[in-house]
Amino acid sequence: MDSELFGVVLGYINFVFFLFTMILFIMFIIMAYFSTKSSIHYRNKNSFTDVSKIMASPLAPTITIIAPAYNEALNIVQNIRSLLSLQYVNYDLMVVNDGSTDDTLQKLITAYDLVKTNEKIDPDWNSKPVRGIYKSKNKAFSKLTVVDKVNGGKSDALNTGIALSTSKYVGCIDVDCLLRPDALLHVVKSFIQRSQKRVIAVGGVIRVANSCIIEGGQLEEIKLPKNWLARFQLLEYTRSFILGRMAWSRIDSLLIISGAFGFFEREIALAVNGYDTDTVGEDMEIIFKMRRYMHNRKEPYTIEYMPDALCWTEVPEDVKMLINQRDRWARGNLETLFKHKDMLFNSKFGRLGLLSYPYWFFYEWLAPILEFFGFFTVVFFAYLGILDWNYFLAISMAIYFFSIMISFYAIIWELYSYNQYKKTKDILILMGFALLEPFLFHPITVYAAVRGNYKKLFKVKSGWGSQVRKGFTKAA
Amino acid sequence: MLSSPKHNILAIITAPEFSLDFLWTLTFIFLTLAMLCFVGIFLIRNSIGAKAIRTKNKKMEFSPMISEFLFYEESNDIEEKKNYLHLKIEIRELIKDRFDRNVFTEVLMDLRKDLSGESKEALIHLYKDMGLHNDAFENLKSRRWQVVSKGILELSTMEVNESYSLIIKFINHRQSTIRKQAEIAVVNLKEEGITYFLDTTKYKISEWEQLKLLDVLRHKPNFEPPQFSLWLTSKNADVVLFALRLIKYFKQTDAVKSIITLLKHKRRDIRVEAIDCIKEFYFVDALPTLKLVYPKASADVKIAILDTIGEIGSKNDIGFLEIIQKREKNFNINSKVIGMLNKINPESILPTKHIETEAFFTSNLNDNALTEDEIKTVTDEFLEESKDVEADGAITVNENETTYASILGDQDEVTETDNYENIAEKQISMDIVPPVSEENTAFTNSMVEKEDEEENREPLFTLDVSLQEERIDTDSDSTSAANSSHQQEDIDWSQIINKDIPNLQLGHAIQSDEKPFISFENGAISFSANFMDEDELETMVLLENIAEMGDRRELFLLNQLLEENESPLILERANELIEKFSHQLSGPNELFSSDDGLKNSVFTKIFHLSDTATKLILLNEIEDIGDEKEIRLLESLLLDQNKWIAKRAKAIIEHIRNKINEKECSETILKVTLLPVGFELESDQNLTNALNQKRKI
Repeated sequence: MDSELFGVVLGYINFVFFLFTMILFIMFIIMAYFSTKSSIHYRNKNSFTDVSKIMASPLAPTITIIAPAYNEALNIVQNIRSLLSLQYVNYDLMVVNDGSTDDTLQKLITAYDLVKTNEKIDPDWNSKPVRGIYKSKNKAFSKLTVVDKVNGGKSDALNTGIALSTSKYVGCIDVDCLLRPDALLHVVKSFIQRSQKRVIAVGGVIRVANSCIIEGGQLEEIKLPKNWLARFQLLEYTRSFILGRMAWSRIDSLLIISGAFGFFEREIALAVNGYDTDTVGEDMEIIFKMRRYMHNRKEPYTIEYMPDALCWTEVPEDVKMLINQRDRWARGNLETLFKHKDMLFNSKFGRLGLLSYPYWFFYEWLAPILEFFGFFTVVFFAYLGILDWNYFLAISMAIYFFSIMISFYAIIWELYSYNQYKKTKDILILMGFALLEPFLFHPITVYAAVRGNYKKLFKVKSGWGSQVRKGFTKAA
Repeated sequence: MLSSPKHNILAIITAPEFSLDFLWTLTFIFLTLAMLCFVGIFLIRNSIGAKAIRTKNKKMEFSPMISEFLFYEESNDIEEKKNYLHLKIEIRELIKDRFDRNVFTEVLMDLRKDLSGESKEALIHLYKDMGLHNDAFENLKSRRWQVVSKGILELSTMEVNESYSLIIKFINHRQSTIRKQAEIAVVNLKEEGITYFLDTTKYKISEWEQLKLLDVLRHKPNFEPPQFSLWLTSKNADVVLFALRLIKYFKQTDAVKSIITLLKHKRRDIRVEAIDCIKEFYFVDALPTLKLVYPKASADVKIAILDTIGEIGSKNDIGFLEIIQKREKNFNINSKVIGMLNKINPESILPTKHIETEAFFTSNLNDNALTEDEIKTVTDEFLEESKDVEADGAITVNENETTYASILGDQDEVTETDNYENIAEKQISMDIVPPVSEENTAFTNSMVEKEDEEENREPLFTLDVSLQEERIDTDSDSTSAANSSHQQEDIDWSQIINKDIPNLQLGHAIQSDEKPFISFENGAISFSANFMDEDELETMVLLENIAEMGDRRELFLLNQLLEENESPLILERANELIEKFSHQLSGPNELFSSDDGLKNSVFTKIFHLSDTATKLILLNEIEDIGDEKEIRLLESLLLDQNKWIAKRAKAIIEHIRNKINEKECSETILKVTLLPVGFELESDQNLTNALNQKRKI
């Protein structure tokens, strides 16, 4: 009887894994379909668009780019120079020095001829004290404002910037990101193109800049990363941004905008009190809050997503750094999902509650944990001799070929839409990495996710960690 | 037969069965799909590549033909006219193929963006002449939105006015892209398009659409805007909003009452736009309504209202602002109120934070009060220093130091018994002193008169009042009073200037070699810019010339000036110009304006009107037939963004230089052969030397 009962339990485990996998297949196939439709639509629609029209228009709305900086003395001056040369009339750049312990502020003061102003922040605004607000004496840098404040983390720095800005829109970016010169034109267009819905946020693709050649703050030549880890991440980003987010945006259920390149309507960002300073997943959390706020107001709104390659950044090339980054993402994910747990299967929030949130819960948060324990269960069952090898092989092969199919499909769309990597060798390398990814890269991300969840659930103290950037390759 | 109850329970709770074969089938399907994707990647890649190459080749084929058409003139000779006709027939043959026709249209559409004037007319003529507009008309009948939109865009860009009546049907189309293209086209094609659009549109007009429509209107030659106030009563709120924006842009001030009424509109963006118009046009009548709507407005609207009151309000509005200042808790609004109060009535609100109490200073003075002797010592030191300057021979004490007493007048005379606190108070009361600036010379003169009256007064001690750097705000009433009194009086200029003109240089550092900037010669006052040295003046003149005639090509020179100069005036002006030119886009005709070297080449004009493919063809032409006239053009291409063009230009420069060298050598040889026999050996040596030198070069 006991062995029969054990058999029933095993049967259920098999069935749950089978069901979980089938739903995953279906979800990804639907996502591939939506992203295809969305990409084609975007391409067609934009063939009629000339974004340069916004450049000198008297109706161009104001936008503030907020770039928090913490111990960025090495590259801050060059990075700011690049951000000051964007093609748009009505923008300003606010660099928030978040209590750097190096000479970040001094370098900025010297390089941009800054002087302290009398500007004040709302004393009731909940962020760490501002030590000074600086503007340049040189008119060539009139767009630049530097805010020096007590250290409070990235979210706190961004909140200070949001409170001090007077623009209609605010952009929160990583100071070391490289933006295409026309990036703001695309962003502004995305904000103002809708007539039926209010666009409360705009997000975009983050591209991998490792090994690319940069000249004078501009991307000179796009190259495939030389580092193996960066190549895996490139493949992962392509799949995630071109297929995943494109599909979610098609059904207006996007729940995350990358912290490295996210733009918001300032009024709504202020209404939800900006970023949450208690989470490391602040970029996801603010979107949850803004969506919730708009749902409660019953006002038609949307979040736009641009698939254009506008923002380039360096990804970690070191396993330890990658694990730290993914560990942080996992913690942020868990914190946000927990904070907004009332949305799960809540029809009041429409597609968000019934589709988007459950997907994030089961396939972004739970899947790595299941995979992790599944792996050890398989090893254990194999050791006990009770593993159904036929079933194990069938489901593993199905998942493996499915993952390759999806990766190849993402590469097709990358080629069709943007064709960034023109060499045949590069495409073959990417496809080769797609074959290896489930064995080499995926286990690392699963481990990092489990570690992040462990830290969060067992309250192991952990912060943002740090990433040492190599700096972009300069043109010869 | 029956199984035991335990077995029954197990049978019920047993997990649902699923077929393993199904999983294997899925595996096989995914494997096949992955392989298809693999093949697909290369098929798509090849297809994209092949299409790009074919398009490029076609563009290279079409570009020179189109150029021929663009620069064809009726006055050309018969041979050229024949060529023109042949070309036309050739193009007609070529564009029979659909792909070729599309590429040809694409080239025309691209060129249209960069052309204006006669070339634009020629281009549009060519488009119609080839019957391409008929394709666009066909596109309008399509069921696919992207095809219809493309057709509308093409007809609008190529200014096919006949299409107007067809396109207006799409102005309320339910597909947004078609509708938006139709709106742009209608406004673009005919003058009355904007009125038709505003009258008939039923849909919302996005901000982006408004921006594009305004852009079309802004760039419409000889556009006479209708009275947009007519649409302020539209039922479509977006039309009202757009009309307000157009009113503001075209500065139409005939709708005061309507705009004031719109302050009460339900939509916030319309209210904000109305407030902007009121501020822009200085509609003082709107002040009561602005105050009326204030309490129920959102924070940003409140700030906009306060901003407007600050701009157009008067002292009568101070009471309203003071009430708000007391009641308003929002930091940003409160800051705005204070700002506006100080704007209307300067310094009505003084700093309160981190200011020590009066007692703090009084107690300090009691403890460490200066004795009369100490004050005397300070005064003596001051006078001593001033006399030192006098001893240098250039300036006298009275001429260069403004006496504190003389500025304050009778009432403000400082006595020896005044303590520091009193002095501080008197310094604050110096707001009667006008700012010394070029714009305010009239007021300065009135002050000179006052000083004249006071010239015999013995100063207790003198102060160097620096008024150049820090402009002291003055009470507007007193300023205007002073101005008017000055205008009424008949002034003896020669007397004043002879005696007191040096006093005008208040705030200037005392420099013995500094010349007066106002001089009096032959009974007339002349102002000279002697405060600027010659180099500085020349640089400023250069900057002004750049401001008038320059464009973004001057950025390099401006940056150089920034590095070379330290004068704040030059730095400020150069920075202004850098900012101004940084916003300019590079245009195709840039190079024609100033560079004479470029004008020498017949290729210059056509080159800068061409696309990349045509440029490469032209470079081939230059290689074949070009000479030294083309070198300047080629050199300008060495820094071209397109690496191919830069590379080709470099190669062709070398080629032309070699050609010139060879030509010169052959000419030299020819000359040598004509020389008398006796000089032959020496000449050979000269020739060899010359050749060697050329090679080195």
